[in-house]
Amino acid sequence: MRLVRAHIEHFKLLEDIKVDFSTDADKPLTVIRAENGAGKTTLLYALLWAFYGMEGLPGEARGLRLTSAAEPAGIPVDVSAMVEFEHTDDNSDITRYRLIRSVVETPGIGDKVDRPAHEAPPRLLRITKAGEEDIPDAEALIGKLIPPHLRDVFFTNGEQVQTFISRVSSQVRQDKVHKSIKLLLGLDEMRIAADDLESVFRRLRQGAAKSGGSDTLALASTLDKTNAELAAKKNEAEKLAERIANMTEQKAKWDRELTGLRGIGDLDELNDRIEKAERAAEAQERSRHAALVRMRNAVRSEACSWALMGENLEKGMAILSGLADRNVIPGTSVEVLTDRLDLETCICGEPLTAGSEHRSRVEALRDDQLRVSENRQRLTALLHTSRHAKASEDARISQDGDFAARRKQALGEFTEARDLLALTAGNVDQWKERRKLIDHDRVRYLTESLEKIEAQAGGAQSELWGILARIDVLNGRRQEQDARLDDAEKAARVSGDLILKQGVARDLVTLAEGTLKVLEGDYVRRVSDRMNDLFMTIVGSHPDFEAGVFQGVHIDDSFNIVVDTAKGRSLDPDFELNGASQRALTLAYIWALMEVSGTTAPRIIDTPLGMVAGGVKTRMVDAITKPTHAELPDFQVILLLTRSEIRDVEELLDERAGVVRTLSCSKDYPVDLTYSWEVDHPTTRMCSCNHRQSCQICARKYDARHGIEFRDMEALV
Amino acid sequence: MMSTKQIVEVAGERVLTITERVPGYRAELIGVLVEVLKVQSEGFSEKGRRDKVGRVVEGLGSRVAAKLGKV
Repeated sequence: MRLVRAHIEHFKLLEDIKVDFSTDADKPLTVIRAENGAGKTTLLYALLWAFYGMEGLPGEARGLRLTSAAEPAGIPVDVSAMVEFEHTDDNSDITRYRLIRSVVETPGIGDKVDRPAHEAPPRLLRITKAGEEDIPDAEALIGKLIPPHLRDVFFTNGEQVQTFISRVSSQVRQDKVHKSIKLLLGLDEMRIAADDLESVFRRLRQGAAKSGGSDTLALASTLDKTNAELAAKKNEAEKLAERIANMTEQKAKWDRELTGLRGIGDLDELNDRIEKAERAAEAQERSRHAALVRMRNAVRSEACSWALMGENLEKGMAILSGLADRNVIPGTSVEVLTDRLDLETCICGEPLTAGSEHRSRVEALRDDQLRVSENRQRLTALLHTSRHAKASEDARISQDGDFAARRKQALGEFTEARDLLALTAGNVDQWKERRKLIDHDRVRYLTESLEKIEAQAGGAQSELWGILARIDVLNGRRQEQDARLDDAEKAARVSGDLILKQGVARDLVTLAEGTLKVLEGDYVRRVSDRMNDLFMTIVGSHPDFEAGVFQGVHIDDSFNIVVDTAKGRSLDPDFELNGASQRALTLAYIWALMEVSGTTAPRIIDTPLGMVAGGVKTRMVDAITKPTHAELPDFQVILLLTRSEIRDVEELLDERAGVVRTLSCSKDYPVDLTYSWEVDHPTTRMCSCNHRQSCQICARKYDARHGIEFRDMEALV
Repeated sequence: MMSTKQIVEVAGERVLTITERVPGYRAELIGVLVEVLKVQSEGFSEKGRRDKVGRVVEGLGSRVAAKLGKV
């Protein structure tokens, strides 16, 4: 199937957009160039809506109005999407169809919108030379040509390309891969066919057994019982295997969470560290306090006074010593004068009789000297005291060192103890914060749950082995009972016709089962191999490259996509692949699956190259747009690209693109768009400019910088 | 989604393991398998589908029997 053209009306900002798609087998690529917000995603949604209705839109868009927010309230709007497409059948006959979906939507106040509660089915017309004919069950045919549950394979965007098989749990990825393989390789249909044929075979055998009499009937009944048990056991094994897979997935999830929690730090180890650090902090606090006491005592000591006053004291002592040297101190005149007054004779020999004038003068002189003598006494005492103190201080210094050295030592000890204490306290705080982050209950729960699930998975695995062994026994028994029944039927002369029909049915069961086995084995392997080729080509890697990261990719027996690296290790596509490699892997898988299954649905991708640059970008575009072999006549790729995505792949687009169109939005004027469209509401327009051209509709202000040629015209489609 | 052509290709290899009861029998088996697959898109219930598959299978049985001269 490939798209021929589309006409979208009043779908969001796509008021009247017509687009032709390339149907040229040599140039199977259509490029819609559009910048962010210009309508690429809206166009993708419009096509999804045309094929699948509201159900086809991504979950978050299903409840939204289809009309533009600029439409006035209360006025009904006809929203419609017409898509013409072709389908090439097994006989290489091409049939053209026209699909029309429409709805009348009446915008209300605010975000309210009125549209019919039940969506009308689309109209599908087969276009023939004779005219057009309505196809009664349009949705059934669409479902067959382009199955709705695979719409995210056919219609996708860069983000989904990345999340189709990455950024999802491995169980979801496995499920998506398994489902898409089953669908595109037709595994389910072949399974149903094999079961239908098996059922017919059993009915025919039952008929033959009945006609053979009681012996054959009894044997057939026994065989039926064996078959019933075998089917039940197979069913049980399938369910158990699924349960084990779920448990394995859950276990991996819990393991990851627990590892994450343990990454914060082991709880016991943190507690141990905190305890030790708190003990160290206590010792450091004691050291700090002791150093502080030593400093206080030092400050209170005479040594501190000496340190502070020593220079001045020594100057005073020198003065006092000078006074002593000059015999100013200690003074003696008071004693001499008192002595003379007691003897009543002056030094000069004159009597100092009581009441005499001479005596009065000597007494006055003695009193004067007495006043001066007190000061001398003090100075003398001071001299002796200071000399004694200096001697003591000198003796202490010679023993303990001077105050400055002692103070420096005490201060050093204090500072060291204080800094250590601060460091320890900081560590303790930090570890306590980390301890708070550990959800104790969660860790305990996860540890217990993991133990439990491991035990359950182990038990289930043993049970599964038991069931598989029983299936082996039953298969052997069935074969034996089959042979006995065949012999009995022959002996009982059952009608040759009945036996023949039964044999034909058995041949068909064998054929269907064998074909299914090939599809499940060889074809899945082919998808895996082709995916590997494409992925390795796109990422530019080869298993022989010594410095290469990737050895290859493959689909394992459980439908997991495994990314192999050197030394037998693998990379988790969710966490260990960059965005470009994730996109490369998904595209490689989708392309490989569609190619191997011969699926010919169009592949429409919005902004696939967002995170891709350089060689990977060129190789990716090359790989996904390469015209395919003649057996896939409907190969078609539609890429919705921004100008920056187009950069560096222009030549490839020249070669591969049969159609290039440009979609622009009026809202970009005047900031990005060069010309105004003279419109009074936001709208989009499609012009025929290719990736190297611009016109008065699409010209943007920075186009010249990237070599885009301006055509002085409006090139509206 | 696999084309009939591809299914015929895969079944064509597997059918070689089955005894050719009459000339053209293997090709008939492939044709019936394709027909059985097509029945699935005809909107039958499971019972209806299996009845139709039964008729197709028995039809082949009768044709083979006729060729073998058993009827």
